[in-house]
Amino acid sequence: MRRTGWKLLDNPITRAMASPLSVDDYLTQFNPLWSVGDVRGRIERIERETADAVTLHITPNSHWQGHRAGQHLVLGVEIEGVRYQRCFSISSAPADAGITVSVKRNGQGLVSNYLVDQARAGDILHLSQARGDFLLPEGDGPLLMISGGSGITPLMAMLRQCVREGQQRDVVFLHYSNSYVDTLFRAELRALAERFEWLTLIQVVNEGAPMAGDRRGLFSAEQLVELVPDYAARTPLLCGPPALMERVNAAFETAGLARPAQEQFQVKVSNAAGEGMVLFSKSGREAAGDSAGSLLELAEQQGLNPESGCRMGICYACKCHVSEGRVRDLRNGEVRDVKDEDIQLCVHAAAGAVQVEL
Amino acid sequence: MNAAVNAMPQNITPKRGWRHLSAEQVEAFGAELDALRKEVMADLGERDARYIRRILKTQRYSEVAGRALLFAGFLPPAWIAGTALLSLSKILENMEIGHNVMHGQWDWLKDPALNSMTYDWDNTCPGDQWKHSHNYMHHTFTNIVGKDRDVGYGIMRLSDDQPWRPQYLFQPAYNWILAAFFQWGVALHDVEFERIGRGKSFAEARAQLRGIWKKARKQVFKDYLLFPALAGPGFVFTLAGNVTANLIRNLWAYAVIFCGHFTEGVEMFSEEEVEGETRSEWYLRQLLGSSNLEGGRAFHILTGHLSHQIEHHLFPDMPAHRYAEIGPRVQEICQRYGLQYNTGTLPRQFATVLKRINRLALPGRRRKTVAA
Repeated sequence: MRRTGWKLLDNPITRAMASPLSVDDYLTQFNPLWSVGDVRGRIERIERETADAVTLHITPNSHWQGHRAGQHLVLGVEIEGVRYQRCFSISSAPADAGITVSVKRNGQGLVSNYLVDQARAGDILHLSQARGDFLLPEGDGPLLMISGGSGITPLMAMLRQCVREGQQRDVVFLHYSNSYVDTLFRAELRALAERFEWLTLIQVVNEGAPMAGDRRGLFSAEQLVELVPDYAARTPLLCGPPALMERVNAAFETAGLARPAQEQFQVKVSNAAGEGMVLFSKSGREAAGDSAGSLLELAEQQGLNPESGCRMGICYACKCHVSEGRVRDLRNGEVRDVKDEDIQLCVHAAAGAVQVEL
Repeated sequence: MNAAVNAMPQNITPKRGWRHLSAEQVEAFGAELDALRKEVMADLGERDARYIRRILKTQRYSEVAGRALLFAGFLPPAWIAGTALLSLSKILENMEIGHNVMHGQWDWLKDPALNSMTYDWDNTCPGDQWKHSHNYMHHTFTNIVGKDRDVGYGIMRLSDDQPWRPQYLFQPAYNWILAAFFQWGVALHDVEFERIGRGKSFAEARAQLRGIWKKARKQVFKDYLLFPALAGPGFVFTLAGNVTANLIRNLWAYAVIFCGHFTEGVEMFSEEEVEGETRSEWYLRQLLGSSNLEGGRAFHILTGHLSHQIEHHLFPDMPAHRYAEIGPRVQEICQRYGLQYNTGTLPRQFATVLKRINRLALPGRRRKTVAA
């Protein structure tokens, strides 16, 4: 059914019929993809990319409003009955049928490991609309794409869009990975580079012998000058692990250039302990601020289940009202007083007495 | 097993109260229950999620089918089947879903449809008020006469520790009115009319009544106007089906809930008795103040597992279908400590409830203080 069809099912009469539950509470029982407004998707197939990465091909229901290359979404998946939400970049081009999300195993990452090892075709996912403003620059100016590890996914979406639209813009794609076998989209990238004059692919690997034109090692300013002499004339786009992003940003700043447009998916948050007492006012629970890293973890320790998503300040799912208190922003260490304000629980810790409405 | 317990004679006859236990034995008893709780809570997972989702599905399908059949309610078999399915759905929603979800038993699933903060049930009592009168007041102060308002619900004498008043002479009769209109009694429960002007402000009560009005009018509109109107010429049949389904659900909920704390042998407590109570003593009060119902699996589900009232009162936020699994272990622990574990079939237990209601309608006290 079209989106407007579902919307028609959401009217005062059907809502009164479902009251005090929602219309969705009934629709969902008949088909988990049916909803008057929520985006949900089914995994159509799972493609193994590398030993520890997969691409999920997802068909969203009709509420999906499409995305622009470079955007991400919040993906909710049930693991042993419990629903977990995390952010992932979309790796498909906007014109593709369906969407793809590529996931790499991530140490102890519960959700990424589950998606890589256990997700199956037919599984239903809860999705948000596409979000984020890390987008393919307008026009046809030359680009420099720099990615590391699974940070390749939003840039891959942009590159696929260039190909799909027949854009001939000059792109240098500089990718950092552990080894060739470890590289997401390796075969597709090589094929594209062979086919299109306008695309230059350079890989830098950590292990094994580099192939012609490629390099070994870590990113450095000298390497950038050597591999991409005209880098200053290109619009830079950057996505990768924090260490790579710090090096690239520093190199650009030293060269007197603006930082590249970037998307950060692994945020380095300080693990400074909180302080003071935190009162969860709705549930009446109280806890010492220093018994957990973030207010989100503290709330969970208290047996509360606030909504949460990316757990690194990107998705805003855990925004919660703080009537008053002193908090520390874990991304930059800044301490501030808040009063009647919504804050993201996952990137804030108590820095004194805090009263959270949970 | 604890040394304090080893020193106890095995399988001793249960006595009233727990004063035959030493302070050390009381703590050992509490520790055993804590361990049991921890074991179950750590084991929660996919099996439990599958269970509640299956209940949800059964309830939604039977509601939709029941309401659809009532549109053909002019045919007697359709009316009977429709009313039966709607009653079943209302019972499941009230007992196994609503009651348990609002206890927070399913919060760990992080499913917005089963979240205690946002769930509201198909009942005239607003969820937030019920969470105060039931989850907080009743579950904290279980069977403390003068504090637990479920003892008599403000209109009945269910403990001989309550002073007798002439109006109680009529309780054998108006007990049945309460049973028939049980959801309305539950709705008005938290307003605490008897406390207005004495510790409760008129404004507070008025705000609560506004909340009840807001909720109840939607329920009344849905069951007694909207669905009958949608049936067109079958208005009366749908209306009658909905009235009957609500009546059946009320009688069932009433019977199960009255068997939870007012059967024979259940103990009542005074405020002085529980002063400075430890967590283990709190467990003992929950145990001795509650009673179970015996039956098959379907019976337990239809009671929302309140047939395991004892286990529910010991662990109110544990997913209810686990009560049936741990019941025998709780009973075994009680036996070792010589503690009464009150259980029986619904007819037997309900008969003792009626006996209590009839006896306490008359003045007089049978005993002084409990468990002294």
